[in-house]
Amino acid sequence: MKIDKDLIQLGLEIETSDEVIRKLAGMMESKGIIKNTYIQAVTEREKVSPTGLASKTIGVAIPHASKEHANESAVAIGICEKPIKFQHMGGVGPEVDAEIVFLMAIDDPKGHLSFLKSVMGILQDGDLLAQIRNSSSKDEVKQLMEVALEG
Amino acid sequence: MFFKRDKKEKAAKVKKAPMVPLSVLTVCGSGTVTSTMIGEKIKTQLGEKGFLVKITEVNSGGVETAMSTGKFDFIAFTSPVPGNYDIPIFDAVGLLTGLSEEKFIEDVLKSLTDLGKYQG
Repeated sequence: MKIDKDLIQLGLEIETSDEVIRKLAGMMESKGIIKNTYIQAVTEREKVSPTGLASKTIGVAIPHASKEHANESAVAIGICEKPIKFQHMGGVGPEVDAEIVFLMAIDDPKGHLSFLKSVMGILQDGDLLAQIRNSSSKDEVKQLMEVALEG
Repeated sequence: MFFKRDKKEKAAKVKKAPMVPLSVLTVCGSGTVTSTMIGEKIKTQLGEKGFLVKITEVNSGGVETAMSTGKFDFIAFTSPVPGNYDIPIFDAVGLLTGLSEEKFIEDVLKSLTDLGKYQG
């Protein structure tokens, strides 16, 4: 999956998971990446199959919807000034304070699989998570993500 | 020299031991992505312990049908599983993220030991 600078948002000051999904999806919408059913599909899915993931340090969330709601595969990345509560994936365990949100649009589940594997790798790398969290520019986030996706 | 022979015999024994078949139902939100990821890991990790694992992937909504038509040794999930079933069920998110992979395998092996399917 390619990392697009236009799909990165730093310093988000948002209260709820629904809002952050809408905000990030808005960037995808303006590029024609998602269909108009996408936002509702993601928020509904989040209720049934939540996507918050705790790590040893910084929490993340990977909201997404099934492929019929996307025209192409992409990821929008939001860095939150204030952690946003997401239910933990699996529905077990405490809520996650997500500071990095990867909103995924998927039209190719295989591509999704390799991207998710990379995200799981990032989760285990506390230093990298902190670097992404503390990035001062979109370019920095893009660069860090590209290195992570290559490895 | 005795030691050497012992080692050889032991190795032969391990090789000969038949793989224990195991059927696992993996559950995620889509039934395709994280259920596949945890399925792969379960196959590899339990394969090393002598199990021949067959994975069936479903989404949360597909659990009931799968349970009524198939026979499984346990369920591993990354998305909440509705309903109650009489087989062991494990939260596999730690296996997915790698943050508590060892604990997941330990828990599964303990349960399989209790069921008489694993002798450590």
